[in-house]
Amino acid sequence: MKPGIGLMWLVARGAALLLGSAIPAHVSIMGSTSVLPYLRAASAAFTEAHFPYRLTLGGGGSIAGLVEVSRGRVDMAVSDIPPTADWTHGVPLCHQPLGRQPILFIAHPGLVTDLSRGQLKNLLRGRIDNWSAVGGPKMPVTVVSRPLASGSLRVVETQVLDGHRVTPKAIVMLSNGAVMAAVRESPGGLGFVESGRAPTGVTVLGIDHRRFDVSRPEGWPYYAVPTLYWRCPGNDSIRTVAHYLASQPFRREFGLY
Amino acid sequence: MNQGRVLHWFALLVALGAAIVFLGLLTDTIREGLPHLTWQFLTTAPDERRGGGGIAPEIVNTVVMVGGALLVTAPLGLVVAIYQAEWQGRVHDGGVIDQVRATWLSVPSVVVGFIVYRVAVAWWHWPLSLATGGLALAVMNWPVMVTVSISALKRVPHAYREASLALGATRFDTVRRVVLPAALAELIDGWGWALARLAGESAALIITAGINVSAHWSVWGPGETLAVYIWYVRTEGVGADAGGVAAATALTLMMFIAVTLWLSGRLADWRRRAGH
Amino acid sequence: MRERWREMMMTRLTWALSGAFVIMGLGLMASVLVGSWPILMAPHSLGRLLSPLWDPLQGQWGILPFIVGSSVVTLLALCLAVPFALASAISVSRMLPPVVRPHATRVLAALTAIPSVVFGWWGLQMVVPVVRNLGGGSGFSLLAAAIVLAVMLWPTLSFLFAEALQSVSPSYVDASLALGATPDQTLVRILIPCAMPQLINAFLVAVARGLGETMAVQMVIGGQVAMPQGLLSPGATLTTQLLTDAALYPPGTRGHAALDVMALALVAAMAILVRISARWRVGT
Repeated sequence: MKPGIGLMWLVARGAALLLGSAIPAHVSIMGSTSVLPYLRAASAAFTEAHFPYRLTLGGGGSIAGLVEVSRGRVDMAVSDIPPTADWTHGVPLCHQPLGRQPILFIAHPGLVTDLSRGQLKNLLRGRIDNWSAVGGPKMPVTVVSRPLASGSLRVVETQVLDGHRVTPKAIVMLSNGAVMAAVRESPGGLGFVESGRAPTGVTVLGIDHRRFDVSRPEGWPYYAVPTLYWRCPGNDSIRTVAHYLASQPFRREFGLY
Repeated sequence: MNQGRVLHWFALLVALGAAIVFLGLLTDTIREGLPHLTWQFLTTAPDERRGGGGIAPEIVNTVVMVGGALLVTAPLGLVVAIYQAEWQGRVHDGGVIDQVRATWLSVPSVVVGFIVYRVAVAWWHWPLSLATGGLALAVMNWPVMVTVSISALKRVPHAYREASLALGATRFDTVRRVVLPAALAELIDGWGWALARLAGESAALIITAGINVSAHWSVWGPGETLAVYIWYVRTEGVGADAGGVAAATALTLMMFIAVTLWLSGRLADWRRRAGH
Repeated sequence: MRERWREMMMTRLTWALSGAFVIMGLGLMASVLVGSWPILMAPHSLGRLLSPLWDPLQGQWGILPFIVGSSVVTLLALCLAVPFALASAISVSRMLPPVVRPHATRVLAALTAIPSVVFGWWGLQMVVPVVRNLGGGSGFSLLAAAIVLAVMLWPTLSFLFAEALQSVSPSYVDASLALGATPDQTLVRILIPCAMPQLINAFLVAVARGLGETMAVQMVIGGQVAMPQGLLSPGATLTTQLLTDAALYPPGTRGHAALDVMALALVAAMAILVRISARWRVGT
């Protein structure tokens, strides 16, 4: 039995050694899925232009990315949340923001078009459970939220909910796209998405009489800042990749500005 | 003849109902996916900028990872089965190996994905790649291979072995010359089925193999498979035709599975006829 | 001499690999147990784990809603799937002409290999809207998850049930028919009772598959962490919550133990199912 395990160990070490020497230009990025469409496009363009480089994207969410990059298991993290010592064990991380990504509040069509921040807060917390209390039709509210690890949920909790939690009765969807679909299809649906485009099939809510304008996204006050993190100072290939990803003009097509 | 068959006819009716629901599920996928399923779709890489594009790298990744996992685990599973069926003399249902096999078989694939991640990525410093994803698939598939091999070996009549041993052949020769050829048809059937099952795996691969493809293919490069691509397009996908792309990819995956099962079935039949 | 040597090497190889197999299998389970140790060993761990409150950021590890979700979804799915599967198995093994039978069995086996993402997606498009129209609310619910799971389990169950029915010796059936029993009476009095151990085993396999299913269920169940209020209420299962919160506690963080506890609950449930199934097999 022992030789079996020893053999496996040897094979694994051998493979790791081979890997270490053969491909110095392999960069792995892990973290938030909200900028995944952009990163897929940018990494494809990058590897096309820089031959020996290989970029691997992994999901897992912002926190997983930060933990893994500080442990040295991936080269770069992409996160909506700033790192805390709890996740990084105090390992210093360099960072490079990719841009701002607006967080929009969306509702099922035909309910309301405008809310005050206070109303929004009480709706998301579950204190108000019927749309009639905020000037809409008589219809129970279905809050659609994201997992606890989601960066946009963190932003909503700090900027809108003053540190409180979204109601435990909320429906939890794993991704932006799923939240959008759920709000579009559920009567009484209310949710939030990271998006630089005006989503179709739902009402984009104005908050405190401010409206999101695609041509002028800078005026919208709620946004996340997806940021690349790596162990300082990082090697040349990591810095090259970070610089490339943070400077592509087509970021705007993916809602980063 | 039909007297006293009321229950049978009722069963047939209910079964037809279930089959119709299932057929509806399949036709939905076909109706949405078929218009997108062009030669170009199958032979080009995804277009990340505008959404859509093809799925060629995903097809390659699926075939390589699933095939690799099967090639590694098929002999491993066969040997463990041979130990139980041929060396121990009989398979102890409920013995230690059998209980480990049955429990391992039912460990959810997400859990396997996590454990493989912890070992391969955290300890061995493998990157998220085809290799790591293949390892996760292999870990998932080993108990399946043992199960498949045991049931194939069990179907070989004992008289074959006794005859061979009585003629003075060693156990090794008996297994190699008599038992394995007799069990081969069943083994091929089982391998085909396992291959099909592995091709549909997504939860564990999202964690271990990465969710993109690279212009420069390598076993240490990112290894998104067809099933993972369906998940990605359905959840984060951009582009207006996301639904069609997902359906066409699902259709491709199901066709891959169907061809695998059909081929392994034909091969097994051919073996069976050759054996008789 | 060379033959003896080869025989010995083969013995050692099979023995070593079987040992490695057992060790790896036990290792998988042990790693889950070790991972969940910090929570299991904390004071009042059982009471806190079985509380209905899940808010891991505040140190509330109650997994009761997910245990309830897993049990309800799996049981309901099986209640829906078993009658259809039994009917299909009877049709395949007793009604279809013998020429068609192997092909029908093969088609059923092929259907078991359809990836679960496909079912989840079909559930989003077809099942969730129907449940929404029936019961109001969002449609994401335990009921929708159970229906999707039932459709997913139907080919597996039908295939295994058909195998179970075909395993009954034809001489019993012939004897029963020769004594003047109708086919229906033979089915109910002879065929099903004789196949019972295999039928129960097939049922247990389906239970295990249902408990372990992640993707298809996750897409339609809604993922609500509060205790579900009824079948039309959204909820979560152990597997879906594992997938949802996996990102919150990657391996190496303190909270990862909470995920390991859920994995442990699943593995323990599977181990119990295996034991039960082993008991039933003794009777055959």
